[in-house]
Amino acid sequence: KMQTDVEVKQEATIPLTLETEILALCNDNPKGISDKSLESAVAGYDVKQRVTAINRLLTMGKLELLKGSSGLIYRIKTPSAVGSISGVDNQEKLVYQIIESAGNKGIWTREIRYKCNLMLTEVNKILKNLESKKIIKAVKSVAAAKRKVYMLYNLQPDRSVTGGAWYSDQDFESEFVEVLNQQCFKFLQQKCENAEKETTLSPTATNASSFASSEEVLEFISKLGISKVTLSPEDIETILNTLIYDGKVQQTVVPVANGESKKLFKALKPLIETTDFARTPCSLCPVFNECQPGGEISPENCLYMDEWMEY
Amino acid sequence: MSSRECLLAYELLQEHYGKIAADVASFLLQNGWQPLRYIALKANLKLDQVRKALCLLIQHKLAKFHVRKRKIVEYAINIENVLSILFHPKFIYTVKLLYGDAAELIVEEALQHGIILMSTAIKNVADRLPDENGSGKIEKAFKDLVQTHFLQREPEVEKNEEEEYIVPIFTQNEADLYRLPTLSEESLKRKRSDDGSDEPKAKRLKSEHETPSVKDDGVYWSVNISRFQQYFRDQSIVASVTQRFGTPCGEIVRAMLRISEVTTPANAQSTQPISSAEIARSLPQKLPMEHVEQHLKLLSNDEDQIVQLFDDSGSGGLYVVNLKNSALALATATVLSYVQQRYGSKACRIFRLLMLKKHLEQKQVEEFAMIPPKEAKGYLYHMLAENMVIMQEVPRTPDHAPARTFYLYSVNIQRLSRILLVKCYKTCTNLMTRHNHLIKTNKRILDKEERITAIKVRVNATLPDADEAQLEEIEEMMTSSERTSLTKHQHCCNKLHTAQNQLLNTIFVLDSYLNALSSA
Amino acid sequence: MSRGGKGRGRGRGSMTFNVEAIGFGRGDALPASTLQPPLPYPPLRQQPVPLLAGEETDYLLALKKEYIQTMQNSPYFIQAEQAKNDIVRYSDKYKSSKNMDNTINWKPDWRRLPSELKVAVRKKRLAQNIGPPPKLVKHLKTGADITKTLDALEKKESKTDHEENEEEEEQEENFENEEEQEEDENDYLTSYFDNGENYLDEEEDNLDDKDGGIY
Repeated sequence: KMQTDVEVKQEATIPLTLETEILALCNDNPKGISDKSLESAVAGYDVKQRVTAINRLLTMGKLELLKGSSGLIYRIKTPSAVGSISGVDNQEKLVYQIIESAGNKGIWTREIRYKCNLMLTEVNKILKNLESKKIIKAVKSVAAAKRKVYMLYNLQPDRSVTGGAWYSDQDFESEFVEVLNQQCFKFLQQKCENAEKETTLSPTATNASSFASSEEVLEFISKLGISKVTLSPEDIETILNTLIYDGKVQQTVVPVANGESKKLFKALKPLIETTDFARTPCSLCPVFNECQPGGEISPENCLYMDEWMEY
Repeated sequence: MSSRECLLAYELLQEHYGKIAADVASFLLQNGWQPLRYIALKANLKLDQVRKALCLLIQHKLAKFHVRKRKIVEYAINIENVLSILFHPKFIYTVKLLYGDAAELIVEEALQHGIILMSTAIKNVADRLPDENGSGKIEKAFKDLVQTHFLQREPEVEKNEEEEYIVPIFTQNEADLYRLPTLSEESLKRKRSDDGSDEPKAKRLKSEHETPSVKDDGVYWSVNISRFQQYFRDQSIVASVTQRFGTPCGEIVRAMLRISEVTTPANAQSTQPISSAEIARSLPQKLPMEHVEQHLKLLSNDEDQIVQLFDDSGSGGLYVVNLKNSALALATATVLSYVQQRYGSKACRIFRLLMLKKHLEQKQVEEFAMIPPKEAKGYLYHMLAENMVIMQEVPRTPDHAPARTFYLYSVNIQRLSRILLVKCYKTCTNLMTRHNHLIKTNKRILDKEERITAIKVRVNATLPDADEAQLEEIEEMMTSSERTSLTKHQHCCNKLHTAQNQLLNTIFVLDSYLNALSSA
Repeated sequence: MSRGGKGRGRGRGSMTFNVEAIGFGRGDALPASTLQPPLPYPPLRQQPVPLLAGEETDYLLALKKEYIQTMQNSPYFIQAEQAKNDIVRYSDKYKSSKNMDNTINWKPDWRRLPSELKVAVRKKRLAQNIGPPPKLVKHLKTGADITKTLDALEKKESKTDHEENEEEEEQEENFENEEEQEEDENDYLTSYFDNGENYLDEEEDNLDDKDGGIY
């Protein structure tokens, strides 16, 4: 009779032990363990017990079943939600939290590493895992080409990462910027001309009506419909700034009602159209410094002068 | 005094006064003050040739002399005056525009002779002008030029009692700078008849006669270069203000400059303060007072500060034209224009960006300029390689590790103005060298043309009714391909001359700016 | 290029600067290599801004050319000594033979100059008796006739625009200067192809020197 008791007891504890054992085995083989290897590792147990244990673990979500090249593979499953599954990797949790806190600006590998103090290989492993689970994603940052930042999967990356309106898939839309530059200038130029046509206005009034705010310019640009994305006044201001650097537009600041100040922009004419030096071939000459009378490159045999004197 | 200036000076002197004068000047430019015999010795020239050269250079105010140790006379070159030779045609043209043909010829005579007596000038011009009763008009033109300071009186020689003297001593009261001598109609007439009636009345360059009966003996006049420079400066300021702010503002600034024409010293930083009322009064096309005040206000609010508010008190306020700021604004615009033409608009954007922000890193440049990084890098490095842009390393760590160092880019307008000016001088020399080369290359055809012209003249003179066949024969002495070459030669020379004429506008702007800096 | 980070012989090291800054990344193909020295005049991408045109430009051009011409023909211009041509050219007659000697062609106001600069002033040979020139070829027409026709020509020209004729007149002037010398009283006339001209000058100057000159 003693034997029967022992048998029952043994039977009850076996499944639990087996589960733990199987889990431990899978933990030791994070890449997964084949059915065959598992079989031989837990050889002490019979097939039925093994299968039951595996099924239980699978149901609980602690293991996952994969199809390998040589048969079935059982792999330890990483938790899809923090805290909801016990035994979840603490390191992963930490990394996840770090990435979550970076919001939609994202965070890059080095910083993650710095914050969680893990080794590069560890971090990379975790990141890869999270990525494959579609918990996080990598976004290329325009700040540094080839640098990726990680953020939660379903977040919209911030403009500072994608480059905002001027970038489409990490490509700087230089043509778009140029078109905007030209159109903004045209608008301001036209405004100036209109103001000058009004002969009844005083000089001060003419000057004032030549200025436009960035909102005004934005309105004009929006009406043109050349932009696929919606632009903000700040976006327009960056374009207007390039016009300032082109020397075509000037900016002034005026105080506004609530104590703040507002930027206004006006088309500008140059002080000098072209300097007369630029009418000589020497001003464009790439070998100007090498040119010497009597030398290999000289005024006497200058090809550029030859061409220039042709017409 | 850079070597480029000396090379240009050499070319100018050779073109206008001959190789000997150019060689003497070149020697002096390289060696500073030198005595006569030393020049002859070291420059390997005959003593008399050096004497002739020095006489001519001194006559034309291109050289000066002083005595050292009471016995040795030394000579040196006035390089600014030599370089001004470039501007002589422009001087003549300016005077024509302002005061008419008689004045034009007076200034021409003055430039051709260097220094000239009033009586000689009037006489020579009278010979050239067809108008028989012109001498009154000519005298008036001369007076106008003196009163407006375009001509100035040379210092006079102090009467020396001794027989022997080494160098003359000159004196001049400041008041005398523009004091006209009294010339009677008598003395002018007498001068003309002294020529000798058997001389054909040729329109040629005459040198001074020693008619002691002329009342203005010893009172010489010359062209006042700095007055012309002031005029050109005023013109360029008005032109640029008109270009940017429109005609009314241009006229206002013109009026301001005209009012302060003779009261502002040459190297002043600003004109005298002028009231808006006075400005309004002096406008050729009247504007309502309110408008004038508004224009002035707008001008004085401009960043470049060409016009500044001097004082708010009184009705309308007092304004000045700030000449130093104008010089800077024009020089800056010149440099920017050069950058635009040579490197392109995108590069110019980067350049102006650096100018406005003072120092930027490469990354920031790409960002602000909104130019694709690869392109931006290209422009930046191209300009860096040609010294338009300066890079400065600012290390963050003591080991100057490149990854932890700021590389800041900046531009310096003052430095660039000087660099650009030197380029202009070199370009001018290049154009002249090419011109000389053309003349040498085409010497044969040019000589032939000269001969043919001379023959034609002779034939026309001696055989007034030369028949068609003979004339044709002369024409045929030049083949058609030679004729084509000749036409091409003329075209090329014209282009080279015109380019020089226009290049000197840039030279003027940059030179004035650099002078304004050094006189501050 | 400093590569401080690279270990010696340890294979690939990192570089201390951002590699992309050069213009091509790691592992990219190197830019095409150049197989020849750069062209002395590489083709320009654009032409210089055209010169200004117009009345002012044209007038200034004419003024400049005129001015240079006047200066070169003036008595102030000092011709460098030229090697004697073995062949006498017709144009030698019209080239300035002035200033190749020791006299100055214009008269300075000596009071304004250091005394050591005094040079002999070339005299105008209006009525001087010149010795018979070594070589002579009789001219087709007499001297007086030439002067007359020249005067007629002068009068005609003085009526036309003096600017256009300036250049021609300068040549005329050269021509005249030579003629002047032979104007009066002598029947030693210059011929079309006279080559005695230069001989005359030198001889005369030697005479001056023999007399002690004017110093």
